[in-house]
Amino acid sequence: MIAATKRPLRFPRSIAANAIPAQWEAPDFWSVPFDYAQQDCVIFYATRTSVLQYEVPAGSLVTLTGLSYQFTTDLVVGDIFEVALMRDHELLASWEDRVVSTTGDRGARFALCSHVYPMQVKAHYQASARITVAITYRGLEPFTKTAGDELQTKADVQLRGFQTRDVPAAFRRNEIETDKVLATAADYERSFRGELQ
Amino acid sequence: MDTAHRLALFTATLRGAEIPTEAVPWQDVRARSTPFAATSTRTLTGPTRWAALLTWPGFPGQMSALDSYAATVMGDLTSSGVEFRLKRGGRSLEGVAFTPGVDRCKTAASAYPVRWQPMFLLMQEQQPLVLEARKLTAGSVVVLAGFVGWRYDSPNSAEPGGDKRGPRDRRD
Repeated sequence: MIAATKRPLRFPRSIAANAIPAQWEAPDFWSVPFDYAQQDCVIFYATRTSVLQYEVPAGSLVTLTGLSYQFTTDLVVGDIFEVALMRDHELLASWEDRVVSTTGDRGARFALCSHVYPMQVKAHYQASARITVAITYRGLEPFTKTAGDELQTKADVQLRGFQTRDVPAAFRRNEIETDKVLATAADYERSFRGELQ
Repeated sequence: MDTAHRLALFTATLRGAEIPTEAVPWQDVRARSTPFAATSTRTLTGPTRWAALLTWPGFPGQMSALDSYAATVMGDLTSSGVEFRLKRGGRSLEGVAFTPGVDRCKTAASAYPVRWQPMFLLMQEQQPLVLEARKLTAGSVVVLAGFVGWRYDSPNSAEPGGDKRGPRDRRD
């Protein structure tokens, strides 16, 4: 007599799914590089001076991954300056760096970062947010320079990261409203350029 | 709206839908994470005892993650007589030993900028992390030290500073 055996359940051997990381973790398909540079004069010592200001366009998200800077004049070895990264005038992070060389590449004369090895700041900016980088130049320690002393230099700040399209929050939470779903790739493109709201 | 249009919308919805596979917040930044950086490039005149060089403060209501650090001096660390150690909550950090005379953050004595070393360390609120340094020999040296990381809303509502919001609101 052959014992009745249960037929084994058929489970799929493997399950595959497209995994889309969140937009602030890694660039998605619609992302473009964000490499932005701006320079401005830093005229006085001991004065917080905005060197870079950038407003994220509507319909976009910007994630910063790196920041570096240089000055257009020869500085003094040992000079200390502070760098502040802000989002809508909210201070996200600030640090101080030091001039260690007056020769060679202007972007590689500092102790803690260069254009090749930028400062690793991971900051997330939503649409219409303002990126601000400000520099406060202190000079040699002990700090004797005041806001009345002139420095007369120009700082060049370089940002790196990626920029991607903003999706509606409801879309992100899977509360998808069908009348707002983008139907085609062309719609995605227009949405990225801000033409489709 | 006819059937074909509805089908096209449905297909596009499926194609554009995201599977929520975001990393846990201590692995990478989230939308509401904010970066944190603290550096010190000051002169240390020896001989000194152990003294706090840098402090990563505990952020009320938030947890934080240390991403990388720098701890070296301008010039040759081997002959500088400078030593480092990390303390958390008043105790030396287990598993982290800065061997005296070993420079982890520079490839040569005069190679700049420093190479930030990755270090994974989670910090609760009210638990400051302190990088201490001492100089055993006389003379002055410039210390280059820094912390880089971020602070975030913890998704675990059970832990101090945890996220008290629902899972839906947490995603954006």
